[in-house]
Amino acid sequence: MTDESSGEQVTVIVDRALVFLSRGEVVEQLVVLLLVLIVSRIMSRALWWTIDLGRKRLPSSARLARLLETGVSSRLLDLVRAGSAPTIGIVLATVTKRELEAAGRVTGLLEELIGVFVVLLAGEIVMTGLTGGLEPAEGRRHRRRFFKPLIAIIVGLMILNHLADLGRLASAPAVEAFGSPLSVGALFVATLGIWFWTDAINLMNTVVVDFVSKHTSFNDGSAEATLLLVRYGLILMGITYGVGQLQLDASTVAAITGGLSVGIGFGMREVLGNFISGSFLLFERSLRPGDIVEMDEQIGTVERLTVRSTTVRTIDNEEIVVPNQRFFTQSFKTFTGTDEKVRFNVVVMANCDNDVEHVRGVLHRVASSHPEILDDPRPDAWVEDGFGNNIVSYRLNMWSASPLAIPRLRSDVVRLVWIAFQDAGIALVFPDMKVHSNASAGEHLWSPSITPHSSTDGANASAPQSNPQDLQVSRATS
Amino acid sequence: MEYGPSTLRPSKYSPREAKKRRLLALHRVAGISLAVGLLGLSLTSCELNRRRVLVWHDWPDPQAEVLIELLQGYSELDPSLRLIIEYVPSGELEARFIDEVRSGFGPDVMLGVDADRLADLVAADAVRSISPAQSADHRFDQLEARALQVMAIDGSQQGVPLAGFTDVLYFRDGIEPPSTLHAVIDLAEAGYTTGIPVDFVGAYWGVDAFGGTVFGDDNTLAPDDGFVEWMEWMLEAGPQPNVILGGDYESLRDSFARGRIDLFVGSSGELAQLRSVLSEPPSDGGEPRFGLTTLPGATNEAPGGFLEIEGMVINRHTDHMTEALALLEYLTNVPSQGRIARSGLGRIPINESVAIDPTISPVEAALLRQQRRSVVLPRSFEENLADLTDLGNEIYLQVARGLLPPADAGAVLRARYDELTRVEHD
Repeated sequence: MTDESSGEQVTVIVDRALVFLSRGEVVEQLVVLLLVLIVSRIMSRALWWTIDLGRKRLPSSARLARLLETGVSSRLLDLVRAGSAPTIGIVLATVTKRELEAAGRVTGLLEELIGVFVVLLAGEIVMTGLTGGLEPAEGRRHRRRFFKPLIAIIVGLMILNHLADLGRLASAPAVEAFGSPLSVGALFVATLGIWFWTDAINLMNTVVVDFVSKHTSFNDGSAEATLLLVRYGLILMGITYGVGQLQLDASTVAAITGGLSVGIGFGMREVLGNFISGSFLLFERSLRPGDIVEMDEQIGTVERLTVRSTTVRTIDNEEIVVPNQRFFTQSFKTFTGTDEKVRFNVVVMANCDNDVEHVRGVLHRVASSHPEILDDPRPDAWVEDGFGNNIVSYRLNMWSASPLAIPRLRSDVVRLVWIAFQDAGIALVFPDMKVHSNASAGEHLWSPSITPHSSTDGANASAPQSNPQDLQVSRATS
Repeated sequence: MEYGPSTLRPSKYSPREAKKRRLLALHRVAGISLAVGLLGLSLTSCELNRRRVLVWHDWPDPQAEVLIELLQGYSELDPSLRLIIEYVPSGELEARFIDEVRSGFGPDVMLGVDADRLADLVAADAVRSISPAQSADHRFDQLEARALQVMAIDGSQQGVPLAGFTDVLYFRDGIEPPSTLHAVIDLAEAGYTTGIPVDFVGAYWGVDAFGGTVFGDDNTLAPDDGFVEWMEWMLEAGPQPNVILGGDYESLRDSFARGRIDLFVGSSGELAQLRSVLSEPPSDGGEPRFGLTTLPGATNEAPGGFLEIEGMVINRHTDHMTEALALLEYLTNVPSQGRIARSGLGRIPINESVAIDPTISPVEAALLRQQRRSVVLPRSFEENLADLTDLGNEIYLQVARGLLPPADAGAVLRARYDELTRVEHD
């Protein structure tokens, strides 16, 4: 009845355990329980080993294997595999319990074991349902971080319930902080409780994002940004509740944190800056997951937006972690601010002997024939520069729905222009590059000078150029 | 040392995965070491060589202080025994015991068992019976026979009584308590208000006051003239402005505590609660501003209400039967029973050798006198007690409202009870 410290409670738990372990009925049940656990595990593994072996050996099962590896069948297979051990456990424990009851033995713990198996099976069903659509590695991560520890704690509490009065144990003071005694229960809620709450929120967030992106027409980025805000809100609520459970003396906490705030402010200035920038980015919606941005001359997609940093995945599949403050304090280019349409162009040089309208028509046709080049706004071919060195330079402007597709589209257009010019009899012009060499001094002087140089078939148009850096030159040695 | 292809096998895990696995293994080792360390520390502090007896009780604070003091006294007598004492709320006590015993757990000894629930414990095969030899060895045969009988089922002693409760008359300081029912009316006419609960269990003492009974043999009811006379007295007293017939123990106790009534019939178990609110100075240790005495009878002889027994049982799985029996013997011996009697908790000792000087402890002496007059509900009625109580309450109400003549009340009660038990048996 009196308040016992957690140390005394631990002593009581051990005392109780010793009382119970001195009873033959308890020891007998524990041995049976252990055997049931081991046998059900072995049986489950043996069953799946046999099934997997059969699938490998039997040629006729190849189709079945392929079927099982797709979609719903795959999830069902995961569920059956995950649920096999608890199911076998339920059957085995039930049969054992019945036999022991018939023999007049005590079977309460076996009954509880059946309950644990049922909880495990239900948990497996829920987890498979939730994580079935996720990447296997992501699903495994959530199982490892959330589901397995949760089950372990439930089972632990079930065992502890026999050894201690959980209500009293929870209210027993464990330590003292800021002049307030912290109870075991409050510490449990403030640590593991927050941990599980955060993980549960993260899991639900992942599942909802996955569902939204796969099964709805919502904009992926905006849905994810909204969920991110909801997630942080819920996590904050959980932390506030968990810390509130500690019932710390508010005035003492205020005095101590007030003194530390200066040091914390300096130490965590960058972190706080990033946090505040991240919050503004989320609230202003100036940056959302899924946005395509260019920063430091690198284009990439915003993968994740957290309160501290933003992860951008480049076209080369590199992940760049950018502190939020940079997005907040520096300008960056976004291709998806209001819409995702992006203009790009290809420069083509042709001999001035060619009919300008003919060349423009060919370029139009090339652009219009590509399915990924938008019709609205229409592609357009401009005469960019003319007559110098007898070359007319054309710029073909086109629009793409995705900025990330531009390098590929550019390649496609250059290839198609090449073919179309050949078909239309428009000669490609290759700028010459003359290299002056002082052979006696052993020096070579490179002197690029562009002159019309027709291709071998006698046509006179230059190769299409996507940009000056890509300028193709022919080299002549003098 | 040479490393050939056969000795330097590539790991099946990536370096990152391997590092994670190593860390995980390290955590596991650290966790197991911590657990083993804590367990070792606990075991060291627990002194493995001591015998341990787990005891549950349902005495709430501050009443539990008396019990814990007694149990600590016992621990001092036998230092090699460690008593682990735990409180379980009375509403949960029996149910949790049954639940725990089903798995082989539960306390070795449970104190505070409501005798009404003993049959449930026995039906669940949760308690270990005490043989006549054990009973004699531990001097349980010196306890009050009726109380022992309450803790026996089919002739087998399933537990041992710890203390009893019964109905008594509480009165405010300065009032001469009535010893007869006639005097109750006189007090009412003099302006003193008396509260009497009117339900089958709480008002049964009235039947005994007229020398009657309602119980026959073999689970049959046989209300006699005493029952009729009691009904008639209630009809006569009911219209009196200062006689309150009705209400339960709690509401009458609250009215008494607030000064709205001057006397009331209530369970001796209300004593502790009343002492905490009606003492001078107002604390548990203060002098009570009220008294209690035996119930008023039709004559000067005090009638008896039902005897409620608070018992003790032993877990069927206990590995410490000898220690458990010794503990029960200690709690029922004269010094322990005397301590319980003097605790002011309204618990009445069941050891017949306990003697209380009425000049020193008038309240405790009155409780003891009242208990000696109390009536034990026959075991055969235990099973249908709830139905019988409901039926009895209904009959009392009908008589009070004038819907049923007192002369017919007994016959109606018997007929309806017979019908009820016949239907249940069918």
